[in-house]
Amino acid sequence: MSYLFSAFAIVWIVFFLYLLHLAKQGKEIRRDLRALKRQLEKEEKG
Amino acid sequence: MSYAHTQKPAPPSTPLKEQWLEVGSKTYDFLTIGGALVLMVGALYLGLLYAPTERIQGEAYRIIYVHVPVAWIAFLAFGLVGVMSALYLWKKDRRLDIYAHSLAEVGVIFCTLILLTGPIWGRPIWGVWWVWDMRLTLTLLLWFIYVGYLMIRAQDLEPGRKARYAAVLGIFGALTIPLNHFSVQLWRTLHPQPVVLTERGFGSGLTDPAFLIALVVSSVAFAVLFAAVLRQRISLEWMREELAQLQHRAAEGQ
Repeated sequence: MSYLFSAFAIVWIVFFLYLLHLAKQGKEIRRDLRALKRQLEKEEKG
Repeated sequence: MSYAHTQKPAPPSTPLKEQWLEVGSKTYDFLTIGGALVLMVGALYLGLLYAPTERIQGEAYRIIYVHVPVAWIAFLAFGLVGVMSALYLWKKDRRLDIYAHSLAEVGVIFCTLILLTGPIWGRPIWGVWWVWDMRLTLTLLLWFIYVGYLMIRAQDLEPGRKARYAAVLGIFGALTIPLNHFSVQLWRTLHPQPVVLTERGFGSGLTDPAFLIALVVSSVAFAVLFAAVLRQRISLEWMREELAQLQHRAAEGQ
């Protein structure tokens, strides 16, 4: 029974960590995109 | 970052991330994420409670309800990497390269799960965590090929060249999949013979229909989860592309 539990637990832990990683990366890129867009807008106006 | 001489960049008229399933992307997210959650609950019920205990292997056999679906999905992902890579080498369209890259990364996650859940099943059934059986060895080789693919992607090379190197490796990896599939028939192996996709018909190797129902539902659940995760990964790559193009614009303006 412990083998069965381990197998199912590992699958969900791996998926959870991967989705967390994707969310973190997405957040960082969105932040960089916003900053760069602001900078470009400023340059175009200036 | 410029792809001008080697690749056709994605059309710049709309934000790049919106080009992937531009129409109905929220519907897609809702259906895949919601669908995966509902199907997973169903798959857990069918795999852990509905399907009867296997006579020889006992409860440990239920690991196949995660091991087999993740294996099928990993092979599907790597097969699609091969197709996208071949099309990329032909068309030089950056979008195909993005799909191949995203498929490879999600495929590696699924392949990692094959290599983790397989030994957990093998230990109580075979008495060992690992044997250098042809199926196991080829699956490990497949994992190394696509980890290598992702390592190429992480290198600081000219983007067009990097995409070409990765595409060649992506095609090579996909070509090993049929060998992996037939390895249990071509060599004497410890790994079980196919029981679902057999010459005698779909699912003919399973003694109780409940085994097949649980396996099919679990496979559909993992397929929907794969579609949901892949969409997130592709979306991330579009954003990276958009960022690279904006950085290029900013550099040109200075």
